[in-house]
Amino acid sequence: MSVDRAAVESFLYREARLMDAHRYAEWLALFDEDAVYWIPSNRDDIDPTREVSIAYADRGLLEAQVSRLASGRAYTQDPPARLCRVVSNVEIEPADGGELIAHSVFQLAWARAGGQRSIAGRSTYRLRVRNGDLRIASKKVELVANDQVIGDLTFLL
Amino acid sequence: MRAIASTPESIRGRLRDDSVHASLYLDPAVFERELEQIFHRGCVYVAHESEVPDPGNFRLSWIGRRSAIVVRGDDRVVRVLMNRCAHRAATVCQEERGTATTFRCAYHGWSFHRDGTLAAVPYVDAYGESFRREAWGLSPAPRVASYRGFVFASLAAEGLSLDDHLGAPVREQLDYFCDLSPEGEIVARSGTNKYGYDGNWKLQLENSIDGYHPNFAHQAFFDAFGTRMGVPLDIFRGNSLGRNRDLGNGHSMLDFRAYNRESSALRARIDKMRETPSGADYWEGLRQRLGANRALDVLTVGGTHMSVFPNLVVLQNQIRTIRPVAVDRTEVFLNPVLLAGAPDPVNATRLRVHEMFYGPGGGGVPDDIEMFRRVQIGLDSSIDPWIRFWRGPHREEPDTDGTLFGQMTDEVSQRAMWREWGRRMLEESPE
Repeated sequence: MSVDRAAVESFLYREARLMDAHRYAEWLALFDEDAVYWIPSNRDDIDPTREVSIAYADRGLLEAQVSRLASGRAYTQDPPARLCRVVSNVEIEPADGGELIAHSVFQLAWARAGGQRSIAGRSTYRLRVRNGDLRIASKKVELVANDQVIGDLTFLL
Repeated sequence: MRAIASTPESIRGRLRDDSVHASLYLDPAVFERELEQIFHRGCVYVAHESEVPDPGNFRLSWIGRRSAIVVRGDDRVVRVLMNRCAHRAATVCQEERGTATTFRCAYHGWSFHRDGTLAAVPYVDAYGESFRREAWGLSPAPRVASYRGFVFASLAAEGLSLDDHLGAPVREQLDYFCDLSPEGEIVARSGTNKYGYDGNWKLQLENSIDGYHPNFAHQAFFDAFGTRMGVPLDIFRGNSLGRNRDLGNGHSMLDFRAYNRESSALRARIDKMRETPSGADYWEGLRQRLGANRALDVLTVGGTHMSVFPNLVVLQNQIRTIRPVAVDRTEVFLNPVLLAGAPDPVNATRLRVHEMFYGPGGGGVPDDIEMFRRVQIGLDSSIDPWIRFWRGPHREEPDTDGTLFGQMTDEVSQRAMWREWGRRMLEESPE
């Protein structure tokens, strides 16, 4: 399977649609077994073994977090936020082992409980092909506001 | 809501021994009096000394509404200076953290040394011969003191000493928190999780030492993470060995000590940890400093879970600071701390355990934020306006160390907090 930018864009658009619709299990299935999911806090480039993140999860932790969100008792999702995001500025570059790096930016509109927010960031993925499909080996989300006072972030980013 | 009043009479009428009037969370006049009586007079936590290890290191902090610079001088003294140019009041420090040779005001070019004294004034001759440099420095907080590196400042020249403000029971808990380090030193340079909510600051303080809510507000977390995190599920039950404890002066804690010391599951986890290479190193470091008995007790107690009135919470792996912004707006800063001298994997695990529950994307804190939002709406929807902290006064009892305790899910802590709140709010104003 040859992976060009159009194929990566289709993959990222589908991921965005799953995240907007709170389709937790299908989103989780995009991640490979050894995947790392990371949202740094304070700055984009920190050492996660010495500095705190907003999220730093292996596949097992991500499963636990997603099962909490899907439980109906994650109260910031009761009622759920309405989400709609634009994904753009997609660039790809080759990486070791036949994998590839994908860069993108997102702009997310969030609405809930009488409030609206706009959340933006830059995402970097390491992607690989497994059984003919793209899978996420790692995802890092650099929020524009990662050094600011922010509200709840318990939805898919 | 509209401002009602903040006279002592109006406060007295809205505060009972075991109940508070909803307007005390809603009234802008009460909020203004809280700033003056509590935050701008008493001891307020501003920073941990480990955040500014070297001369010139600084961080910004807040004393109530006032911006302050916590900075280490060339003499290694940690000072708390108001972030306000002596000339026309512009802030002289814009960065949250960093290292400064001087603090320079960009407005008219004045600069100040790291100890706050005036360094230079452009075109100083305009002030004439009588200009006294020593009168134009950055104002220091009148009182600054620290315990185990926890720095507190007070804007009042007179008042309780820090030792008396904390009291022996709080100092004992800070010892438990810091003694987890093989060097007895925590390091608070691991960044911050920051979140805000549209609700009163006292909601976060009440919640931080509320042993009743976890099994309900955080049920989804315990269901999803309980086993993975090793959180015992029965500690917050109505028959738990855990205690809810009033430490005096408005400070209080969720006291897991008796529970943890009886827990064979916890003991098994500690033993398993000691069998790993990094766990064995860590244990050896603790044992050498503390002796085996104290080292095992420190690991068993596992830090603390305590509020220090009015703006500090020390719990699990973090220092939490509460900042009152407006009567219905609060910001909260979580600083997880590492343990000096502990092996890297031990410290990395502390961060991962923290992130699972805490922070804006964690598995627990967002549920609390949502409860604050709901409470704030409910408080303003009152026909019967009283909030009743009625859980467990009949079984509250004094302990040998002078503290008061009840059962884990009792509201000992909230009653203690409000007692101190009333005492401070009813104190005579300075002018």
